[in-house]
Amino acid sequence: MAIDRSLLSGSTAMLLLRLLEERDMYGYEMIETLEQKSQNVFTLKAGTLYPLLHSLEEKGLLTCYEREADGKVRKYYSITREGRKNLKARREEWQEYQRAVVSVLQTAW
Amino acid sequence: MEEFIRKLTEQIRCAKAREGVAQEIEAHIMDQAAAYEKDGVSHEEAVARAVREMGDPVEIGIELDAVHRPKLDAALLGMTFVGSILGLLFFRALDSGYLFPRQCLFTLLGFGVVVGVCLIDYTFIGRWGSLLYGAVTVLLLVGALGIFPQQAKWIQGYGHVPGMTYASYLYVPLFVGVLYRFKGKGMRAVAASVGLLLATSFITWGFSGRSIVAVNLYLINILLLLAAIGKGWFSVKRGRAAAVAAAAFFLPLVYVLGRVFLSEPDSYMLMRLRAFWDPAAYALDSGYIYERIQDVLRGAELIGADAAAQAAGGQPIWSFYADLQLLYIVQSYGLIAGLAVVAALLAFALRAGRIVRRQTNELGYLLSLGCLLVFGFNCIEGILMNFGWFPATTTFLPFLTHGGSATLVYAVLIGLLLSVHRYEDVAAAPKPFRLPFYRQKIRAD
Repeated sequence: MAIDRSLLSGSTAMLLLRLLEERDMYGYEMIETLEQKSQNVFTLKAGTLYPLLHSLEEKGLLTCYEREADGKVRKYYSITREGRKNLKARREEWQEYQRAVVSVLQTAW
Repeated sequence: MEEFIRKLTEQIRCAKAREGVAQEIEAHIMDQAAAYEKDGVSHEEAVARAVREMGDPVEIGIELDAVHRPKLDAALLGMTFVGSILGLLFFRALDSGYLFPRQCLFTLLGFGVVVGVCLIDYTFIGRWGSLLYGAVTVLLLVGALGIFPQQAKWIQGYGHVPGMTYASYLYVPLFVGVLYRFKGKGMRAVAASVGLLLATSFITWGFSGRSIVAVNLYLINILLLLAAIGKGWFSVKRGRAAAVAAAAFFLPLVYVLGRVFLSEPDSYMLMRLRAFWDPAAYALDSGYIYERIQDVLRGAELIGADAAAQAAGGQPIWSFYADLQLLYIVQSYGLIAGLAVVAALLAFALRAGRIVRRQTNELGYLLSLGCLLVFGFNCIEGILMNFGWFPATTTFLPFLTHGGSATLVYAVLIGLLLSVHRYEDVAAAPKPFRLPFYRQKIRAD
């Protein structure tokens, strides 16, 4: 299913924070999990993912560490307290936006 | 794939960030390729397809370049600059004699050191930790025994190496470097760290002849060891490691207290401590300074100099005890000026604390924490001492304590803090430096 990119790009950070709220993940794992959870609607490109992850890390919303898994050293990301706060704010903002869209769409004129 | 990664990393101007990015992108491509291979695609085709999936390497590289920039904590640098200038002006009011040009020179040199250390990637401490520690110690020993033979008596507890009192604190970043080299090495490394921090305090006690320096270093290094244990550096059960560190904390304490109180009840050190509790009883020697401190505090105005004392021709407090610079400010400019200096030091500490808190890089975290602790211990003890709440001893306050070693040691510590901040989005975990024969031994295994 094709989805307008602009709708996705602003909320991608929120989706990533949501994923990491559950557990720490490395980049590839995030793309896979996001695909699964969104029933293949969100297919995030690696080229979008890593710059975004790195800028979230720079802002202090994520931290990262290296850990060995299946014989490979992987860079895991984990959400910080600041990141959780940010996610909460984004989520509320998103829900308000969603309610507004739905109420406009459902209004009988 | 190599071509893709080369093109991508070429866009990142900061060379130090490239390695970390390359590793991460390569791991991603290999994961993606493995997934394709599971679907029955040949290895070469799978890798090629995974690389195509990534998108345009130049575009990604440019985006990553925007994130990975060396940064400057302008606020901390600005505070350092203003603090140094104010410190210099204060020193001029104190002593405009021949020492003043010397202090100007050291302040200027200090700026150079701050900027120089800030530009050096701090991770060299992680790479060269043990070697630096060893080299500095050997140099000190050689220096103490060779160049200053008259000072060599430190082994028996007399004399000390000039400048060593403050320079001892440079052992803190070196100790962090050694701790970093002990990563993942288990309980033996914890025990070795404990041994090393005991040795560090012993050595610096000998060199500087100041027990307060040894005690401060001891406490700071224990806190750093606990922080490293907390971060899981040694890959051991944290409780057990913390218990070892706690034992290390109490054993020397018991030893020193036992020695001081049991075998040397009339020692000079103990007498000075008793004078702190009861200045009146020792008013003619060690208690004198505490009585003078109380005089100054009683006479202090809110704003301006203590006119009554000046009219009586009293000596400035600074001439009794050189480490009472803060109290001298209270005496000559008023209580509010003194409190403003305390507030400024607090602001500086908070700004430095912000750098520590933001560190995700473990070496950066511990190193900046170490610098902050040196600053914090000396400021807290120094401020308390100036107001008569801490025994009179040797503490040094940034920007206020003059002299070459104090100015330059703080310059190094501030430079390290700035360097940690500068490279926080850039530095990859440093690979430890190994001596050549060490590497051969590993290969033979």
